[in-house]
Amino acid sequence: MNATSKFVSDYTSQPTPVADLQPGAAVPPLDRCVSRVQSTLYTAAIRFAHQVHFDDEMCRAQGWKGVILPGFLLGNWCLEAVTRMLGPQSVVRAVSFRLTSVAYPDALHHITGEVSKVEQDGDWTIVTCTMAVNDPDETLVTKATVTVAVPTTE
Amino acid sequence: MGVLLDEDALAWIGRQVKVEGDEITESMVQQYVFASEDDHPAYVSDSSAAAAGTERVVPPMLYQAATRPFKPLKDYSPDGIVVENRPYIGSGQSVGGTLSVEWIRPLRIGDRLSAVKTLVSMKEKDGSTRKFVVVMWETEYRDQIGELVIRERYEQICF
Repeated sequence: MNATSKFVSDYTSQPTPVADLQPGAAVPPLDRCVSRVQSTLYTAAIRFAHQVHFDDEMCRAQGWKGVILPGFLLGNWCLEAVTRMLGPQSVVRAVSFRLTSVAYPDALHHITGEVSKVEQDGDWTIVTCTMAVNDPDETLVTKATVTVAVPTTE
Repeated sequence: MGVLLDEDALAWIGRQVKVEGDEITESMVQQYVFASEDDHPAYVSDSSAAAAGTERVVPPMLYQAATRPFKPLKDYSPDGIVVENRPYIGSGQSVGGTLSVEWIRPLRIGDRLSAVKTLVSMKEKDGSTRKFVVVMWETEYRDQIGELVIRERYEQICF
């Protein structure tokens, strides 16, 4: 793990009890700082060769500070914050995310959110959360809606 | 038509791109888990999933790799996008817009996805610094037995 990243909640810790999940409840925040190496590894993992993740000169020509992080990774952070809250039996059902500004490597990003809806679907509880990723300047770089299922316990 | 949306660009509306994905492997999963740092026990290994009392599945966003088969170098644009996956608009460059994904079921190692991506619409818009075009693609991914597993709507912002 990157030395400046930290997981606020861990999959091995006690997940938030489903009974405590009400609309408005906060999703435990997640902080992430990604190096250029990690960004490169992530783009390789999704087989994405877009040069905005590698070519500083191209990015500066767009008015950006340099290479930018892959949006799919920012969307994944939003999924991950919710699954960490719900624990190791959580299953992602849906995500919708929009990049509102570019995000850069080697910058600490803060992922926050809150529960917006809790529903029952048979033996599953379906939790929908609205999520946000902010950069160190508090600029909103991604907003998302994430839906995750978790087994309903007695 | 608009400043950016000429006849050549508009001809892309309705275009379909066939996707024949690669089989999802353990190696792909490990690559994704390490790169993303998302160590959900259901993703990491059979034993960690079993210890957590859950089914082994793969990271949901890994479908991105599983539906990007390797292509010859000639199929890529200078900025690294596969040519058939993006209309040529303005400078020929793009960034990602809204991505909406619904997983009908979790993906598993051994799954092989296929789909037909359809470019359903293009809308030219005025941004704060330049005009751009929102290109909307819709895709339904099916597994190796033809069952629907993912619905996706993806916006490309072309400028």
